[in-house]
Amino acid sequence: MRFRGRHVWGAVLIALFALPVLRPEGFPTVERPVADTFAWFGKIRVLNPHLWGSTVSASGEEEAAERSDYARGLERENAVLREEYAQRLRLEEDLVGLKGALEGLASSGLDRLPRVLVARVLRTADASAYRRSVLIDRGSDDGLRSGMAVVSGRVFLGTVEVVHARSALVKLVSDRRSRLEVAVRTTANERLCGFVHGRGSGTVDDELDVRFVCLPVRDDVGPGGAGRVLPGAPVFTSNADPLVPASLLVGFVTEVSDKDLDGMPRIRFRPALDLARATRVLVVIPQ
Amino acid sequence: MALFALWCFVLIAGALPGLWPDVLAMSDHPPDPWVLLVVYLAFRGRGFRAVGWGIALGLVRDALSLDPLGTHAFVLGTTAFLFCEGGRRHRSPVDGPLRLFGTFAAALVAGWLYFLRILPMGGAGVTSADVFGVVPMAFWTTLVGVGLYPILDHFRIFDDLLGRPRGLPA
Repeated sequence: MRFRGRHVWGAVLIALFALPVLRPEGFPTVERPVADTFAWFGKIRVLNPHLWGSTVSASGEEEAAERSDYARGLERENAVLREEYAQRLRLEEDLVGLKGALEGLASSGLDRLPRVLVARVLRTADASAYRRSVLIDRGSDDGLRSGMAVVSGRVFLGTVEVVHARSALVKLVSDRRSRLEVAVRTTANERLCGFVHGRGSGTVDDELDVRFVCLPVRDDVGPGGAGRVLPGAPVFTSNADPLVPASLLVGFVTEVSDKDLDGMPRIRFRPALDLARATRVLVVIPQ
Repeated sequence: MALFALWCFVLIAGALPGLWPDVLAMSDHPPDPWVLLVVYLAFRGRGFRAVGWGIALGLVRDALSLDPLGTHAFVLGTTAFLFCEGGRRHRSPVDGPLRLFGTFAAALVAGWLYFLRILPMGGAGVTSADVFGVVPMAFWTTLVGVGLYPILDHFRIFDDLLGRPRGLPA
């Protein structure tokens, strides 16, 4: 049998189909030079439309959009303050008990606080139409490693996924393969934890599901009740991942399923990340 | 010259995804410039030449995206394989409305091949929204092709890559 172009290319394509299964982590030695080269071009302002900056216009639509952005910012700030207030109440209760214990500690613990690294966003969309990532101008040379949290203000954007020498790809919380434990506070001030599950509908501003392993089966209201999760309630990061700080804002609840009717209760929420405004982000580097 | 043009195209394709306007949900289902170029090369190239370039473009796209190496190389390579001169039953030139129809079909095939490719990888499953979301993406890709193909035909910048003598008609 004589091999023809058709057979050779067919064999190559079959090998390519198997490649990501055999090496899901990819081939950094092959991918790094290509990605770093393109990231270098991305750092040149003239060649990267994302860095051209917004042009100020007096049109009504843009003014309305700015006002809307401002309102969203306030909404975020409000949610963060509410969470901080709830935390503060708990902390004040703990403070009384801890005062005596603190006297015996030699170190204040400040040296264990995480530090942050400012990074510039070079690209706000993934090269693949069905993935959600941003490209930042910091890499392994700056101390980044996979799994580190990336935030914009107090909003959680995602985690560092692919690290190159001078750039890194951040997997957004809205990516279809994102996995994150989050917490929602009920009307009775109870904290419920669940896992974010991307819906993968292919749109840029995907809403996300939070699936709970178990919701409290007690009464919604009354003494000892778990309370209800209301639309508009903020969704925060939980403390399951040591590289992701807790209590960062992830989004706002838009829809709550009926836990009495639905065997697998779930909450749908809109991510709070706003890529149009995120020109610079912070990478949280644990000590 | 052809390689430089290809390099420039890849640079633009890498920067475009976040820049599409929010008109008629275009930013939700953005056109795929990578598929567009591969289809153009497949319809214009001789034999299986476009398959190699499709795989090379796919490897670059893999390096720039979250997907592991081989994902887009398989998708774009297979798309080129199915639509190139060597893979077609009819060797007559593909042009005009037929080429646009082919672009729409190729964009659909590429989208579905991607979901076929990620199935063994686990994680989020493929939903009906994924399957049908490919259709508007293919529509926008074809619409961009309406404007782009005549420009590429006119300048013949990729002909050197495709084993196509420059004397041939556009």
